[in-house]
Amino acid sequence: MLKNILLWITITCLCYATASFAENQTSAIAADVVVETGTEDAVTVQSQHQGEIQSTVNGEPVSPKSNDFTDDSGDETRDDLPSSDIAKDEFF
Amino acid sequence: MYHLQLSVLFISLYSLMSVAAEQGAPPALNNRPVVKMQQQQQERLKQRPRNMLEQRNGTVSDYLTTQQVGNKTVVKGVLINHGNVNVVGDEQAKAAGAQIEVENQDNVQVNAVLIQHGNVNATANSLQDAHAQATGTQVDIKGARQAVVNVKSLVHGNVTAHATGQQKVEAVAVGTQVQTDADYQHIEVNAHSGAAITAISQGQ
Repeated sequence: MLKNILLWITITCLCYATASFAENQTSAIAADVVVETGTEDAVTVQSQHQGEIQSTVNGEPVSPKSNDFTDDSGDETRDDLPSSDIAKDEFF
Repeated sequence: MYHLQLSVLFISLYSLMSVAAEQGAPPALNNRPVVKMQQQQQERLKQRPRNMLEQRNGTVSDYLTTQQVGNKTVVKGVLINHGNVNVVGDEQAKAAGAQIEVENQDNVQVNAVLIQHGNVNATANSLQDAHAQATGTQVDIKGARQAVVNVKSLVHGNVTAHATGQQKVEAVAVGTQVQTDADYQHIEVNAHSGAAITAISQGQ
């Protein structure tokens, strides 16, 4: 039903860095938290990071970005998860 | 009258045998792979390509439990990996500290605390493509229709991915990663990390 969908949600607390060079296809990604899902259903991320997050390509540091959100799915949003299946209090 | 009694007797016997057979046979769900915990993953290392070498030192404290509640597979508890994880490969290297994998379950719920104490390093070095991925804690849910993930993640150690190659070169370093391919999901992640997360790519 929802095939060939790739949704990357990348949330970092302090910084996020990525780079891609089309010529030689060299990339480096460093992130605190990455959530990769097939749809856009509810995703909640809380993150605390103490330390350095960095990525380098061919020795060059990549400029950091923050709270990057990329959605290339182009599909519908699915909000119809049965509430009975959403259990938040069983463990925490 | 005699035939009627005989028929009732046969029907009763058949019903009893059917019930007994159903109770004795395991549910079809149990025949499918359920949850691959970290210790089981270590056994899979023997099946890895020879060009990928994984080294783990330390101990794994696995307090995860798996329950079948109705049609839902519930994984909950705590998984702690003490020690460093180093994976070296030529074209591909994937290293994960504390990891939960759930495969081929229709309805999955994960309520877990994942803790990685130690460094995680992935190094890929190739003359062609090179992909290095290092993850402190990771939850993978594959083949599920519904997934509910509630994860608290603590990463105490450096996470480093280092890729060197001459064609497509990719290095990915992530503190906490959650992956699902479910159609319906609800994901809550509470992540704490306290060291360096570094991705290094060296291409042409």
